[in-house]
Amino acid sequence: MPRRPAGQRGLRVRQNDPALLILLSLAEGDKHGHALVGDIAEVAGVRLGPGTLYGAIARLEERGLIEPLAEEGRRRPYRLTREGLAALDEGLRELRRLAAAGDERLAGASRRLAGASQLGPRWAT
Amino acid sequence: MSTSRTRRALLSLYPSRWRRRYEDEVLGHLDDECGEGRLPARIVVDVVANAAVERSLGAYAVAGGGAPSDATRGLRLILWGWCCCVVGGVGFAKLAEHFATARYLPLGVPGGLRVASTSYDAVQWVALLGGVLVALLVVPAALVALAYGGPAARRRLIVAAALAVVLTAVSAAWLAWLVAWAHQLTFAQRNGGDARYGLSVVGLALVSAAALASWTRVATAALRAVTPADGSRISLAARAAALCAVILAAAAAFWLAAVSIDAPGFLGPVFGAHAAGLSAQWPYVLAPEVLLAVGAALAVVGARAVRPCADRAAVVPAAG
Repeated sequence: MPRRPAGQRGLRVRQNDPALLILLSLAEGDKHGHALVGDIAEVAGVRLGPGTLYGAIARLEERGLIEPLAEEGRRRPYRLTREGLAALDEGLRELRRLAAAGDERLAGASRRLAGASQLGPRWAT
Repeated sequence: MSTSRTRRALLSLYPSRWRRRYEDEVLGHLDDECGEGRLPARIVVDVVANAAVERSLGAYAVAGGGAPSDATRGLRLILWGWCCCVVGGVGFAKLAEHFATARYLPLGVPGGLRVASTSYDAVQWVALLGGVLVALLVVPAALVALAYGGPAARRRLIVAAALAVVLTAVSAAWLAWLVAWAHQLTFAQRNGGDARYGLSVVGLALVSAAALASWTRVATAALRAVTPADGSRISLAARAAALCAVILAAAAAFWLAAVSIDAPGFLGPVFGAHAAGLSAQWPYVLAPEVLLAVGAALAVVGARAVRPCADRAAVVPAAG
């Protein structure tokens, strides 16, 4: 399979990438920092620290992938932009491609193991 | 100190531009996450580490397009120049190791050793200043490369750092073994009387130089992944570091010239009346000077290649 540069929009495809997780969470609806952390912890099992969270928010905002909404007290919700949606779509497609390649290889490995076990115990290692 | 003041003090580690935009929001977030109580160590470490990265982003951004820019090529040359200067400086320190005390002895030199002493002090202070400047060039680049450089840059850095750590450990162990051995030898054996000891010293010098070169490789790997975001500040620091390298080489040369004229006996048989020892001592005396001169030349060439980054939009870090 030919290799393709991951994340043409600069979004690195990694399951625990804070930027991807924030975009994923905001795809459900607008959220402020605390709500983002809670949602990401529930969905991905990763609890982002405040430094990591706001570092990623600053970068996403800088690149126009999310936008801040009006403050609600000391909380400020964020919203996914059209560009952010496209970046999330691309990131998830990369993950799906990786998962599909993994599935394909897993199936091949299972077939090989099954074939080896039919040859007798000598090959079934 | 109240909880609020402690938290504000923690956030003061961030750049002022970042604080104006996010400080109140993050304070609110910390209240939501941790209540009024003490912040857990995990949160403090996370905030401090990201503050360092945020500050570094004022100096560097992730290189766009993957190709190293002219600016970082210049910075990398300066680093290799400094690597030469450090090796030469260690040789100079060994050559002049007893000068710090000898200069206060009544040597009968007219005017004392004023020029040599001033040059010697200049070498020490400029080396310190240059080291700080080089750290200011390298540490932010390493932080940005690690945080936003992507998996390939991170892997390059980690592999280079692993090699550097191994070489540093080997040279430290070698040095400890050599020091223990040296205590069992006589003065004559330590000064050319024992060939095995002499070879071990040369081996240690080579391994230490390799360790230093490998740390320089780590720094240049970090610089490959970034480009200066604030051209004027980085180029200023780069030029100052190059200037330090030039002053260092010049001061070491002045010291050698002054000592060879005013107190030739200090350098052993090289410049004194014992011409028989001249050929054997020349490399030992001149190698540090040559290395310092080469390092200064590299640093100057590098400083001339450093250019401010004009296109800020092209170097905004990737998300993540």
